[in-house]
Amino acid sequence: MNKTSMHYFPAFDEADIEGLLRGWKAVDPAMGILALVPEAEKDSVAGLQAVCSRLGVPLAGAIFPALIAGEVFRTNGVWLQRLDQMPFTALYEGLPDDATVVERIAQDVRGQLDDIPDVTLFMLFDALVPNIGTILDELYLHLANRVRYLGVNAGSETFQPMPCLFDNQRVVGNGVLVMLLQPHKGGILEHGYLAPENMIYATSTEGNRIVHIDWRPAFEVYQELMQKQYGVEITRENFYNYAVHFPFGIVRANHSVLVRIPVALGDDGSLFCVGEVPPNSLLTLLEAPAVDSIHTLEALNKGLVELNGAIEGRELLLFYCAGRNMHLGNEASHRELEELKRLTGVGSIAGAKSLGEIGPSTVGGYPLFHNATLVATCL
Amino acid sequence: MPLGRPGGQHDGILPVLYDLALVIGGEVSLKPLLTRCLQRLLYYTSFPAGFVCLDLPPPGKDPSIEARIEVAVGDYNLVELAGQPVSLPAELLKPSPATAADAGPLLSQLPVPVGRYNSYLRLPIDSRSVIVLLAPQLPETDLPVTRMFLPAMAHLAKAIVLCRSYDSQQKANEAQIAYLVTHDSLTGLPNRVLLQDRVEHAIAAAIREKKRVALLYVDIDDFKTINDNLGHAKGDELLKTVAERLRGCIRDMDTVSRQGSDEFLVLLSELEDGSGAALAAAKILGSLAHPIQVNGTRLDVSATIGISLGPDDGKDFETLLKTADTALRFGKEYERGSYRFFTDAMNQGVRDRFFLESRLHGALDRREFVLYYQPQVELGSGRILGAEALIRWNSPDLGLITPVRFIPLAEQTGAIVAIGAWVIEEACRQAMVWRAAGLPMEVIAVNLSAVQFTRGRLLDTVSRALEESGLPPECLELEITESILIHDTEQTLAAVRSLKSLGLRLSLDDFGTGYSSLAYLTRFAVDKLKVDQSFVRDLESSKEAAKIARTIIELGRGLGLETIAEGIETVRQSEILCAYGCNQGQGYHYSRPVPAEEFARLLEADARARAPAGPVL
Repeated sequence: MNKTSMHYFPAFDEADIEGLLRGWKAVDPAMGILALVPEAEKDSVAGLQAVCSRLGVPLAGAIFPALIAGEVFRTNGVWLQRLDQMPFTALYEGLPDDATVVERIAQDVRGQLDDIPDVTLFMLFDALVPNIGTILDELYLHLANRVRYLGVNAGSETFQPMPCLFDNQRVVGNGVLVMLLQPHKGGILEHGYLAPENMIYATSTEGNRIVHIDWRPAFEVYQELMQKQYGVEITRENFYNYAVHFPFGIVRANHSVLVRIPVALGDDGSLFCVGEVPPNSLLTLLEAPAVDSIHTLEALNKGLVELNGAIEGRELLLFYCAGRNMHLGNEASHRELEELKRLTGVGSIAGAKSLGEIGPSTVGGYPLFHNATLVATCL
Repeated sequence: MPLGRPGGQHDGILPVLYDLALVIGGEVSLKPLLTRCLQRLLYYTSFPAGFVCLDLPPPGKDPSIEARIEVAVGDYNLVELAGQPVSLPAELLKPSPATAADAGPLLSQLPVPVGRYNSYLRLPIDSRSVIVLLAPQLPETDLPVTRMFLPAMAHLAKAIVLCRSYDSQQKANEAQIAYLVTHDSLTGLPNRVLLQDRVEHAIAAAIREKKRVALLYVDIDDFKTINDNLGHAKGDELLKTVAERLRGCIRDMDTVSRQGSDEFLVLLSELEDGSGAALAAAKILGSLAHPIQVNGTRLDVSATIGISLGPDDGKDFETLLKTADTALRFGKEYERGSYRFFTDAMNQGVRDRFFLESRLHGALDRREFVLYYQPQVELGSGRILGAEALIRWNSPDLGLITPVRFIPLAEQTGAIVAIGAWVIEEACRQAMVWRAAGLPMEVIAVNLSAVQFTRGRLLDTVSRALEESGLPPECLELEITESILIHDTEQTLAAVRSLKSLGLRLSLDDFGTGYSSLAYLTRFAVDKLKVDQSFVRDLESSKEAAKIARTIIELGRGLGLETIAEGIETVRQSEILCAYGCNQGQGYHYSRPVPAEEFARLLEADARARAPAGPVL
């Protein structure tokens, strides 16, 4: 990847932004912008589009619940990430109804691939697209290990529909924005949740809804496990207070665990999670207090160094799951971010609070949809 | 580890196999079956990539096998090779389950970058099909993976057989659907969809090879009448026979297509010039000239053909079709039962016609028509007896247009019915206005079109015009042509008799130019014969013309009919006609057709001149 630069504006000021972009463009005429905008500043997107279009600067971006700047979450301002040479970028709408989107993405990406071996398919999804896991499965059938997969979900933390993906002209929902970064080594995704030994099977699921666990209503089993493992009595009334702290984990063959945070309770005792739960998934109830931040950060740092070499002084793009933030609280999240900066030695961290994350199970491996993780990459 | 537990407990196996069985049982088509099965196997075993080969050749001594990767997952190089024949290590495809951790040299023969994989898991589906999973290092497991999937593989083998059967049935269904989409169900001929595709290809090839293609637009003449008279079932049988005959007239490389109804399109490819198309068209017309037997009924049919040549007349299907259609329409209009090549002049004619047609539409509502009146006089005295009403179209866009230009068009479009009705009503009204003013208007003559006889409610129109105007019926003279009477049908006879029963008079226009059958004159109770202007014009210079004019006049006298000569331009002509015994005349010698106001002045002047104290005309 070419040299990059990130800039945080605490407030949206069209003149300031235009000045910065003019300066950048003078140095790199083919540059483009990846913009991260907090939900509270969503009205500034139109101004951003106007400035970029006026200057002939390609723009891609998304609206998130909050931004990360100065190692804290902020609901004001805008991050601009300069890409010296704007990579292939495309915004696809119509998910999940348009069955051709995946094939079109694959076809478009194939058309952009050349001899560069290290290519990352960076994806920004609208968090309300209900079948992201399935889309990733399909995408992998087309592109396999030719690209590395990385991405996050954008949108409102209230999970209310909101157009959240944009380019120079459009602001859309129910879609995905893809960027083909090349050369790029990919990113690292970690959550550090520990999985206990007790295993259960999601014997009946529909998308992101777990209907039965071991052929019994999912909530009934959830209540039983919470009582048995953690001594907590869960009722329909207190479910929403506890669920974010006691997520399910989908345990995979290679020991990796995908976190699935229950967010709603159906009348029939089914549980709705953020992210699909494939049928017959092997589940475990993840241990609430055991978010192993040190392990998570060390694993992130190690992975980033393995991918990029020394990263001291570099700029880090980081996405932090909103569910993880809810679980840990702002204070612990802030400490985690500070520790990450100290441990990695990076010059600065730019990023946003995300609503689901996408990364491979192993380096160069299968793309999976996660919750409760940190996703980091050097652009 | 979900697939097993430290200590060798395998309580995770059953749900895995159950899930795999569901995946296998849930697919009906081969590719999704293999893809999903492979995906699940990779998921359970943590191998990052794999592929499936079916229909392998029997094992031999060769270290490599020509195989085809049916499906690959996880490795882009293998995914790209899916469906293609590749050379694979024979060892890797053996019909026995195996796991190998240090198989780098063997796997280096795979069509992927060397060193990417060092381990494999081989799962035979049956003796000729195998799944191979690949990994850089053998994933850690304490499970007997080479054995645990064998029942699932047996299940998969049966599913493959079922899916192949389903896929072949699907293909057959799709082929059937494709056939129905591209063929005419009645004749089995390619339809317009398929023809369009073939025409586009043929034109491209013709341009490339500097040759020609021809599109023949074949239309059965009067098919509607045949269909109406014999019924649709026999009409369909006729079309099938026509289709067969057309097929028999062309080469294998050419295409006959049914465009719809009684219209067929014939595509002739790789022609040097138009002569091949002319030959084919003549052959088609000749073939259709032989009577066709339809369920015991002998039918004589003919066709008209319009021909366009590509790329000269059009470089795409639509243009070529349009030009062939234009040629067909010219053929229909001027010479049915023939073929005709498209020419640029036709296009100009069509453009003119379309423009005229577009303006003609609504001209009546816009009150753009006016009547002119040409005096009809008594030859002996020169007294004005009445007038022939002649329509003119005063178009704001085109100026004053003569009937010769727009009446044929109005007849073709059917607009003549409404226009003709207006002429009758207006002529009656105006004649009555003059009569009411005391002017000596004895007769008003109005021309009728054959279309008014067949499509309009002529009797109602005339009755209403007479009633509303108050004009005495004997003052109205309807001029009909021989072409109306030539259809000597009961219907025509009844129509004419009904009109006559109103008390009006009937004049036979252009007598002597057509069939001139005496039978018409008696059967249709004609009152007056009109000597065509062509005989009058040559009266002084041609003995033949004079003889014919004289014969017609004498014939009329013999039958007790009045005669009127049109187109009189000189005194001499009027004298000769008068000498022959012709009663009446009209022409520029007396007056050109004039607007109503001017005609009124002529009538007044004539009346004054003939008044006892007035001057002589």
